Formats: sequence, C-alpha cells, structure tokens
Amino acid sequence: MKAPLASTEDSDESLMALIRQGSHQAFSILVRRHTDRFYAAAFRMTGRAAEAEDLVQDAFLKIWQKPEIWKDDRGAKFTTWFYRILVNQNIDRMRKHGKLASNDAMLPFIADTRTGPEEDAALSEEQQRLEAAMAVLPERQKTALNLCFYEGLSNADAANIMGVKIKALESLLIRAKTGLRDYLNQNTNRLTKGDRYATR
Amino acid sequence: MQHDELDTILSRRAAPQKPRADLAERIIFAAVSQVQERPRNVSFWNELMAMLAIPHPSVAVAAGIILGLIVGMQAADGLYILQQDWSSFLYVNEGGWL
Repeated sequence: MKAPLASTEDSDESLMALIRQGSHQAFSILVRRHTDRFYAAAFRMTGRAAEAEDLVQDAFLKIWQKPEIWKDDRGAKFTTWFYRILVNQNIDRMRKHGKLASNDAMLPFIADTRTGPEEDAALSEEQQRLEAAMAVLPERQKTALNLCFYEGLSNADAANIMGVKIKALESLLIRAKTGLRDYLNQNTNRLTKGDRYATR
Repeated sequence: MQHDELDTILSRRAAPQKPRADLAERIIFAAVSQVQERPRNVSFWNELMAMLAIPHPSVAVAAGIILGLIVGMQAADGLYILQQDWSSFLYVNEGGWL
C-alpha cells in the first residue's frame, strides 16, 4: 500500500499522522524543518557537536521506528513533545556513558553580538565563565534553564517535558540561577584577588 | 551579582554553531536504510506464495508445468478407466440384443 503524499505546507502534527502511515516523505520534511532547531537544543544539553548530532539523529529515528508513540488526540504540539524525546534520549545517553557534559563545551560556541576586539575579549571571557558555570550545574537544573530560557518554552510546557510539576520546575530554575550566581561570583572574586583564572 | 545582571549574562550566552549542513540528509538516509534492513517476519509458506506472484514468472511457469503434469496424469488414469467401462458396456450389450 502506498503512503499518502505529504507537503511542505503541512503542519508538524499532520506530518506525524502521515509518518504513522509510513510516509518517508513526511519524515523527510519534518527532519529538514526542525534539525537546526533541535540541534541547538541538543548542543546546549550535551556541549559537544558530535554528541548533539547523534542525539538529534537518535531522537528522529526513534519517531521513525515507533511513530505510534505520537498521540495526536492529546492536543500536544509536536515541538514540545519532541523536546521530551530529546531530553529523555539525553538522560539515556548519560546513563549509558555514566558521565555529564564535558567542560570543553565552551569551545565551539560563537558570539553573535561582537563589536570590537576589546569587547570580543571581554565577551569571550564572560562566555567561558558562563559555559563553565553551566557545565557544573546538575543536569535537571541545566535542562530546566535551557528549556525555559533558551528554547523559549513556558514553565508549564517545560514542566510537562521534564515530567515534573510547575512548582518543582520553578524550584529547579531558582536553584540553577543561584548556583550560576554563586559560581560566577566565586570566579570573579578569584580574578580580582589576582588568582590564576580558572574556568572550573 | 544581582538577579538582573545574571539574566543579562544569560541572555548574552552565545548561540551554538549550526550543525553540519548534511545532518538532516544523513538522518533521512539512516531512516531509509532502516527500512531496507528491517527484518521481514514472513513464514516459509508466505515466501512461497509470494514467489508465485507476478515478480517471479519463471517460478510460476515451472509450478504450472508440474501441476499440469500431475493433473494430466491423473486425468489419463481416469480416461483409461472410462475406456474400460465403455468397452465392457459394449461387450455386455453385444451379448444382449445385438
């Protein structure tokens, strides 16, 4: 039996319905539409380009292999649902390898608001400190911060993705920010005292 | 450090690099490969029936010839019996009213 035709005009949810009927064309459209976006999210989770690519690939292949896990009758948005797949894949990956994101995560980052060499240097230092601070955060706090701050999801959506209540998510966000602030303050104090700069 | 200052630093966090240009295509290709490698859960009889379908005409012709020979031989036996019966019928009638 031939799968029905998909169009680039179709919504994500319609494409998922077609994928459930075996449409590889619908799968291709969905992958091309969202790879960059989810790669960015995966990169913020893993901190490594290769691992981020693997994570996105595994997540997409999962919905190709088991499209029945998508339940369109629940009224969920595809992107919100896919973030959950990505977060769960990341947790599985970390359990498998028994490790957290590495500290060299900061290296491939690029600044997008550069204006001059001095500001570049200052920004770069700030980026390095921030990435180092993010790297030492517990994974759940980092995920909560990434989803709410960088992926622009509402607290309700982020809580849904992480499988926690909104209050718990807010608590994770507060602890994440407190942890970051403490780390950055500690680091700044070291610099002002003339200690050797350390990112971790 | 104040709360607002941290938010400013967080908002200035650099965007990750874009993925390699062919990432989407590699994912699509991997999905196609999985379709090809997917094991087929079909029994021996299903395989046999599938061979008799149009894509394997040589197998269908061979099976047709074998089937034809078997049916033909059975029909030949039956014809012989019929011939015998017909002959005996003639003999009986020959002795009767002819």
